[in-house]
Amino acid sequence: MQLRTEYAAGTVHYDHILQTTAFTLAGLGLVVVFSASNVMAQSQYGDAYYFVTRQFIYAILGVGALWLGRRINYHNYKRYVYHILILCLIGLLLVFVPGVGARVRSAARWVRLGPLTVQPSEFAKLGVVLFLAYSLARKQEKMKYFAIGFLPHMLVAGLFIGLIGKEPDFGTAITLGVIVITMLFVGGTRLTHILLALTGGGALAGLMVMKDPKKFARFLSFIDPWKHGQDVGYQLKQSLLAIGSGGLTGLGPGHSRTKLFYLPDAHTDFILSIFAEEVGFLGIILVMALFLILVSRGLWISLRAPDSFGSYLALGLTLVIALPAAINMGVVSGLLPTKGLSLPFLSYGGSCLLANMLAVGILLNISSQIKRADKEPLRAVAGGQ
Amino acid sequence: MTPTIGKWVRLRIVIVGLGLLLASVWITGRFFQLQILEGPDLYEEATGEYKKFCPILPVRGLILDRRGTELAVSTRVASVVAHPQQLKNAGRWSRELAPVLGMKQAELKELLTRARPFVWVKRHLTPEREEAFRTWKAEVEKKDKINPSDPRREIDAIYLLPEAKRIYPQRTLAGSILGFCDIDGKGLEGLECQFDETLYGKPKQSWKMIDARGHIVSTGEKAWDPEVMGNNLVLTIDRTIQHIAEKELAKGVEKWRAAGGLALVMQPQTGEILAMAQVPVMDPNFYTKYSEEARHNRNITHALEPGSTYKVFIVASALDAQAVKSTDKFHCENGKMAVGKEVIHDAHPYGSMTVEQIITKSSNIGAYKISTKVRPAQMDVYLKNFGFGQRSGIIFPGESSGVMRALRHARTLIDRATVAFGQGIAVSPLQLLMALSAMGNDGVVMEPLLVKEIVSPQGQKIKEIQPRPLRRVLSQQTAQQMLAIMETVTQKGGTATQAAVEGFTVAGKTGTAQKLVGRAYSHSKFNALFIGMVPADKPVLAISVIIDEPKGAIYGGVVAAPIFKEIAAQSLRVLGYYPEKEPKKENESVLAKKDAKGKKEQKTDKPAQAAKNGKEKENAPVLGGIIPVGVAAANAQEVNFTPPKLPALQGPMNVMPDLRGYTIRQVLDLLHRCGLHCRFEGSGLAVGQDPPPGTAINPGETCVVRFQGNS
Repeated sequence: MQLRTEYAAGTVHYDHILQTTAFTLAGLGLVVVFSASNVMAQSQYGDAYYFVTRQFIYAILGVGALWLGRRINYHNYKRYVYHILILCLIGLLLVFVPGVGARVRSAARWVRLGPLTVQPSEFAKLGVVLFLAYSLARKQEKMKYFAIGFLPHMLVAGLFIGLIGKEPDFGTAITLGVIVITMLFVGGTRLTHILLALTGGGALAGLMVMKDPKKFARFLSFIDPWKHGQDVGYQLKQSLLAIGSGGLTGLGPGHSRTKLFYLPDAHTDFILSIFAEEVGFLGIILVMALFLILVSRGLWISLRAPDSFGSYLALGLTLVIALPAAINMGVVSGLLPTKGLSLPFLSYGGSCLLANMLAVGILLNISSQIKRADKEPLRAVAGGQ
Repeated sequence: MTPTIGKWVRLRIVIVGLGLLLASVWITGRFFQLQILEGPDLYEEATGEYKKFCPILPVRGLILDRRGTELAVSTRVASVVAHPQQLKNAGRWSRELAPVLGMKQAELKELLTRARPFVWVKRHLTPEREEAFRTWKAEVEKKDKINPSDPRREIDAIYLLPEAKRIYPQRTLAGSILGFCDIDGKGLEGLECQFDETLYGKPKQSWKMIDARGHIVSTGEKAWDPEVMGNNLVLTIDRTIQHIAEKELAKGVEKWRAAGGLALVMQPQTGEILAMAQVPVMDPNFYTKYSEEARHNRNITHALEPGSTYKVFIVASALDAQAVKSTDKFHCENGKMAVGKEVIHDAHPYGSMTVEQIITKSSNIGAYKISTKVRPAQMDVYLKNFGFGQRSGIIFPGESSGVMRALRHARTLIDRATVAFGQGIAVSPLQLLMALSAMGNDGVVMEPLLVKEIVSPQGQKIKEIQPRPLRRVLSQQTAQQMLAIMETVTQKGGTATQAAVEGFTVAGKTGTAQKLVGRAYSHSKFNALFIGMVPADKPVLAISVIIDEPKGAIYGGVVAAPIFKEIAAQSLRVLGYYPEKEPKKENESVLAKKDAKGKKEQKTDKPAQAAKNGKEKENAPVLGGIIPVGVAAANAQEVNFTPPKLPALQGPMNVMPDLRGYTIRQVLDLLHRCGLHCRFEGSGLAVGQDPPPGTAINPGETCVVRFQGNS
């Protein structure tokens, strides 16, 4: 195929800005993970580099995933959509199987693969996005029909969201829900259907929150973290103290005080608090800018993709990175109620980094197939439109 | 390939993009609010949360003898403390900790389940137990993984707290003078109680970074902060003389199977107490094991009948009042004399005796007759001026003022009569010796002193307590006369020939006092006393010895006088006074040695030889007021080994000190101050070290010190 020869000739043009941004974020992640985890790692494992060493290995694997995503023509996925979807489903089911699934703090989110543990929900997000992109692109104009455009997607997505929520991993479940609804909205589902889904999902979420006293307490603590600073709001209060302590320029890299066991999950979900404390508001602006570049490039690819499958896929993959990032930032700064959700690229965690790097790789592949202005006449003919 | 997306889809993608942009602006705004607008406030609040005002416990100052020997020191020990309210598995902890701390499991569990925010689990651990606890805790910490969403672990609520512990390295030596402290370092008895504020130190508080488990993060602290250390107390006590007094007293008590004994050594010219011994002894390290009685410093807090020793004050008053002359004769009624309805006795029947002989032979009748020559009111003034019946003003808790009945108010004749030979009154041993010292100090009563200086931890003198004359009680002439009279007591024909110190003259007086049992005098229980001064013509030492309930003999001259002699003879050597007439043999050998040495040095160092000869002369008894301290210190080394004095307490050192010649305890203390860890090899005195002296050191390093026996 023409594309393959272009790759071989090194003349394929993919989005360098996107790739550089992703690498920058992943590299920054290594630094922040080390800074946020060394005290805890030293005390728990006797090795300050415990987490950063692992994160470094994940980053290497992540580069491999990115390369793989960039290499595989995204159109090839279409043939394997259902295979991939079922693989993801099996993964999500495996976490509940004793012996295979690994429970941490009574949450079954991981599957053991030899020495590694994999978090299937991270890859399931990609699977669902792939399925939706495939389905939306196929259905096109029929999206406005409830039975065609709304119900099947909601059933498939609902199954995945339900399984993830069962783990429990509410953060990922809600994120996936928002991704699905956004994609359906872009795909052309009627707004009334979307409102229906929102009310239904909202009611369900509300019910679950009210039913589970722990989650209700979390919700309460979000409303007034200072009042519940000693119990349920402890984590959020420490996070706010850390962010506030940072000021404009921060206390200096490595000088976080909150990481001295004050802030739980300092190297995972709340890593941005440590970052904000150490490098201040300027650092936050930097991270925000990097994410904005990443997301804008992703959406740009979505707008310019050679076909609607590519567009929907690019949109979904962009959302897979953008939404957790936005929600995580909202959570650590107290804008949203606390839920377990890691910050893409920065938080410690192998599956998350791998899935995000893979997503960027696929985006890069899509970007490489965009008809560029200088080659437009040629491509237009080749595309046979 | 599916067709490209339509324009409506494009629009909706742009809407999603705008939505995300809006979210990013909102989030950035939130961070701006937290970091820029509320930043300083949140920083302050966080500081309040992470930094705690930690008290630094004070370290009690040292108590030193007059030459700098440590009598009471503070060392750092660790105590196990816990916050029971943070412990959920008190059962597990008590089960695991019980063998580590050597406590009963039930007792531990009771402690760990108390509804208190803080408990002492075990205080002042031995180094072995401290190590065992550290090992145990490290293992538990390894076993119990941190839960990342709540890093505050249960085990962190049980930890070691450093404390200062009072240690009396000389054990029972001077125990009753020093007193003791409770476990919190508060002085309860003796000088520890009297100078509690001086010694206590200044508790300090400092801001320290604390991690969420309550551990102190910043470690820029000195191991031993001089700012929190209390002032040091330098006593007038001489450790060596104290040791001599205690040793000889204990020997005497044992020999006479007595219930106890008291001894005091004082410099008559200054009022400084060099030794204050009592039997039974008390080890302040384990004060709880001793009875209330044994904890008191009875030389100061107890009063007893002085018996015949009191006669010297009666006679001195009579002489000074010029009511009698020493050559006046009194008839002693052959041992029996009726006074009012009662009869007073002498131990042996005597006829006519001079005033001097009355003291020499210790006649009760004679003393009474002399006392009648002075008006009671005048006698009262004299006795009061001697210091009887009132507190001496010594800085010590619980001083007894004794019991004095004013003679002028005496109801019956016999009441007045018995005072003349020390019955019916009570004086403390300190009062007795203080009054005697006045005769050795040309008739001037000095304030008795136990404390010489108060020194800051940095080594600066804060207060120097100078000898203070209180009042003149006798004329110089009378005082000299009394010394001469008392000298006869220890000479042939006197009651205390056994008190004579070879090569010195001794002025003294014996006493044998019946003890009061209930309201009547006992016929089997006595106090045997001897008070005396040496040399008799110009005393440098005043010593009192009292033996409580001796068996086999009761007389002061038999029981107490030999003890006086031993204490006096040895103490004089310590202070650098040698007998006027050395025993010949010893003299010869010394001379021979000197000759041999002299020959060797003759050619090379003649001036040095001359200087040495000069010094030899100095070593002869110096009978002028003040004791030559330098010589005394030099000679002290010969008699009893005293380790070299530690360098003054200064800030932490940054080069390795020369440790050679120090004891283990001193080395430990010194290195502790440098913040060094130390490994010891052998015992005795330090002979080698690694790193060598002068090497730059950093706190936390480990060094090796080798010791060898010093004998």
